[in-house]
Amino acid sequence: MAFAMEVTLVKSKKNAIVDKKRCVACGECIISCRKNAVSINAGCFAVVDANICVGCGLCSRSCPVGCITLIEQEEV
Amino acid sequence: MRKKWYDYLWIWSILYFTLGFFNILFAWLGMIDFLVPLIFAAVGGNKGFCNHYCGRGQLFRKMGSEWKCSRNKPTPAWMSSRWFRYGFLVFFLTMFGNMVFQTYLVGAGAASLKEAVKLFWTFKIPWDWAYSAGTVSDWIAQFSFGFYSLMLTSTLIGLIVMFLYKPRSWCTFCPMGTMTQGLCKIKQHGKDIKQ
Repeated sequence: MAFAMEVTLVKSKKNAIVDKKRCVACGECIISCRKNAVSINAGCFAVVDANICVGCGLCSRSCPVGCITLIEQEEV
Repeated sequence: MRKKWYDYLWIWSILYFTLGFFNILFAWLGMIDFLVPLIFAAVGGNKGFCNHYCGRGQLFRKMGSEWKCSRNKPTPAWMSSRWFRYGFLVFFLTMFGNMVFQTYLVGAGAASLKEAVKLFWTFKIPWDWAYSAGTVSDWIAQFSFGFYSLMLTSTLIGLIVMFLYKPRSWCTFCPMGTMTQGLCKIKQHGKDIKQ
């Protein structure tokens, strides 16, 4: 019973995460993101704001490096 | 999202090559694309140029995404790998240095002005209609031909990878992008040490 309650409280959602080591900071993800959730950290790599990201995957599809992946977010 | 003035800079990319087609001296305007990104990185410590103001990146995006000229396949991993990016940067800078040296030779009178555009550092294309001899000093014209060749070659490479892979695959190994990201990383590293 406790388990069932826990399941109803958890909202399943995807989030984009950037592989910092491979990112070339070109900014394609900033342009493709409709929610303004992506920014470039000091010209080094892209960062996705997990609170804004809705996991639509637009950035992941347009990233020329292919360093953005969608992960299942268990808790929000 | 409302478009801003800099969202139309892809037009600049086309305009640059058009102007150079009729008068090669316009090639000098390409120095803007060469210096501004470095100023952004060295002074601001950001890649604002790549992110918002790069006309070439925008053109690839426009053609690849909006006009559907890209196959949209994943870029091969080696193309964005560190060794390839820095290797291509070294190669590109060497060729740039070679072009500057050729300009010097023409300026010093040791070589004559060649009114041609060299594509892929190999194929010479006659381009004499774009320049009337004697308009400016020979070295100024020589640099124009050399710089235009470099810009055209890199755009053609960009267009090829745009078609084969993602619209902005060029950006993964663009020498300017590699240089500016390198500068930003050095700057950031310095800040991290201070803190």
